[in-house]
Amino acid sequence: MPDYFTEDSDRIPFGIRVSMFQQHLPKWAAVLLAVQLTVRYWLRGSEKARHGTLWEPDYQWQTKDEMPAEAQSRWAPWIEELEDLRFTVCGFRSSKTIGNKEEATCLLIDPSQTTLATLLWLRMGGREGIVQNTPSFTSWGQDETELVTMAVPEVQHQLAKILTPDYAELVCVSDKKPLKAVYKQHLGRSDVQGAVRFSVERILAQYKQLRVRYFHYATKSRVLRRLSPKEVTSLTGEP
Amino acid sequence: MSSVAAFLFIRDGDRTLYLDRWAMTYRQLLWGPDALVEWLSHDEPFDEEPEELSGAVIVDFDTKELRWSGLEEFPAPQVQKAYQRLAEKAWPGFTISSSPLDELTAVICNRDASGDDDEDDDDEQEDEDWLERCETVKEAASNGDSDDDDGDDDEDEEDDSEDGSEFPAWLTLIDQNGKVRHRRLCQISRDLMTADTKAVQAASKLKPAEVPAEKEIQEGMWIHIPNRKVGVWGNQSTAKAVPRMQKAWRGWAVSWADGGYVDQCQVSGVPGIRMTDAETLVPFMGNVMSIKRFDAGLFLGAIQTGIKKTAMKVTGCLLLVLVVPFFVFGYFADRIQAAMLAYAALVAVVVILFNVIAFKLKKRFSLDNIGRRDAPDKKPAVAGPLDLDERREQMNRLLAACGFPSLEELQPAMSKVPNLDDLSKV
Repeated sequence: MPDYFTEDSDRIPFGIRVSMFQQHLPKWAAVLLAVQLTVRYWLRGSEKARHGTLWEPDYQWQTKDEMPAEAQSRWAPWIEELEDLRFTVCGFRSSKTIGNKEEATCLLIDPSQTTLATLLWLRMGGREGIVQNTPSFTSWGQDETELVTMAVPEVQHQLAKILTPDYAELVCVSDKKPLKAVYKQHLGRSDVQGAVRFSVERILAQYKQLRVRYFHYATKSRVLRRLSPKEVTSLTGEP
Repeated sequence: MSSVAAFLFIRDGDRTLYLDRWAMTYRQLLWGPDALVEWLSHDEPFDEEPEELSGAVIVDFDTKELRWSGLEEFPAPQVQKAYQRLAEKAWPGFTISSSPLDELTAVICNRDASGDDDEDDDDEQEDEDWLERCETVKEAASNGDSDDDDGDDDEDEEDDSEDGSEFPAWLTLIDQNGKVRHRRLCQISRDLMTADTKAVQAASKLKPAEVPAEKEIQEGMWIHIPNRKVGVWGNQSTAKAVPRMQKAWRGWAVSWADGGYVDQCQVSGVPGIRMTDAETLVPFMGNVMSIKRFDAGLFLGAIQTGIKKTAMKVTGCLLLVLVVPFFVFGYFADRIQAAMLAYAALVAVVVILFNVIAFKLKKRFSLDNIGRRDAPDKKPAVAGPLDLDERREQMNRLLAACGFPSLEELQPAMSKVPNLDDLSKV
């Protein structure tokens, strides 16, 4: 059976959980829901998985046409802005998921070839579900430290920092900031000066290595957990 | 307060005119010609020239033509196409077309339908539609979305996301290098349609937009600079502008895109987010299936009930707040029981007064009292079967014949769109 993984949400601190739910619910409802999940975890253990992502250490890059229609639609303005800044599209990938999650990624490299732009599209809950688009810029220091500037809603800043591995330095900015400004801020970071240069081909290989490194960190620190065979069967409907 | 619709039947050269006081013409047509005739035959034909009309249907049984107005209530082209498909199935052998109300009114009132007058009227209407259109790209973009491309990025700029419903026009620009840029406007502006180069430059400087979903868009235009092609699609107002565009864009191929949104996606190289069948049907299906008569009584009743509910909420909140001083007084005066009894008495008095006032106001503003009670209609509220099961069965047959989902499959989406049945429950 293939290995599917999901976020181990039970590890999320109570306050962070409340702020995450507050994005979509009034505060009192967010607190109640967070309390309910916490109590349920104490009584019954891990929350049942609602989705899973297939772990593929060596996946193939795909074409833009193979990406979900909505992802292509949502990325259009960012790709336009980044190409105006002379970024080059490197690759696309649609993660293999089960359950109520869909995920796709677009990678672009900047003209100096030191910064990778990652456009992450995520949809939970089907066609009318919640969609999140997260752009980020990543460079690598000479000591292989990952230097990330990410534009996410402010309520997610704390969670993003908690989930950041110790080999990465993350700066969160508001998702309302224009993409050009986020890029400019990333380039202005002192730790990004002197970042390693990559070719387009090497950057794709480097990105894959990053994902492997993050995966090992996430499973070791239990940010991600493996789905049990029963959970996989329940989500896929296949025996 | 009523909005009258006229129904003209032409049979063997004879004209018979009926009026319906509460025009929602689209509700009546999907049950076929026999149902429409049967429905209207409950009334006496109308002999005089009708005054101001809000809707019109002309059925020529001799030439098998049905012309009508009312489709503009649903501006999304895909919704209009879905309705047209159903209507064509319900009226086999008939040519069905949507026409401007004033054209139909001229025919109904037997005004001269040929010659200069009609052409002048057409020109006047076209000018009105043209002048109603935004003059410039900037005006059409509004909300200050122009990019100040002088190299100074305002890093603190708030990214005001557009509400898709405010910008139902989609513009695609393909530049000399083949780069595709998408923009959202409230309308395709006149300067874009008349090949103003400054307009194209202004459009390219607007904030980049996502590829919109089909359900958000009422009209679209693309400008393919390398191929010198312009495509445009949309509703009747957009179609009227095409001859003007063809004159203005000299040396360019300007064409009406029958495929609409799909064609623009193809040119842009994106799949787009297509409307589902449910999304194309739901805007009108609820009211088509309803057997409620839309009249002043229904409307007024809904307003009255809405006001009453709000008043109840406000009164309830006030009573809840008042319990505090009663309790505090009773606590400090060591007479809690007496205080609570007094509060209970207050609540009882307020409830009785509320109901008395509500009753008196309802009576005061009833249709009879404000002199707006219409003479009762002899004919049923709507055309088609009045038995709900039979009505559903007939509509399901029509939907199946067009390859659409059944009413049962549409129900989850329909329950999210308010219709006349909801108005009567308010």
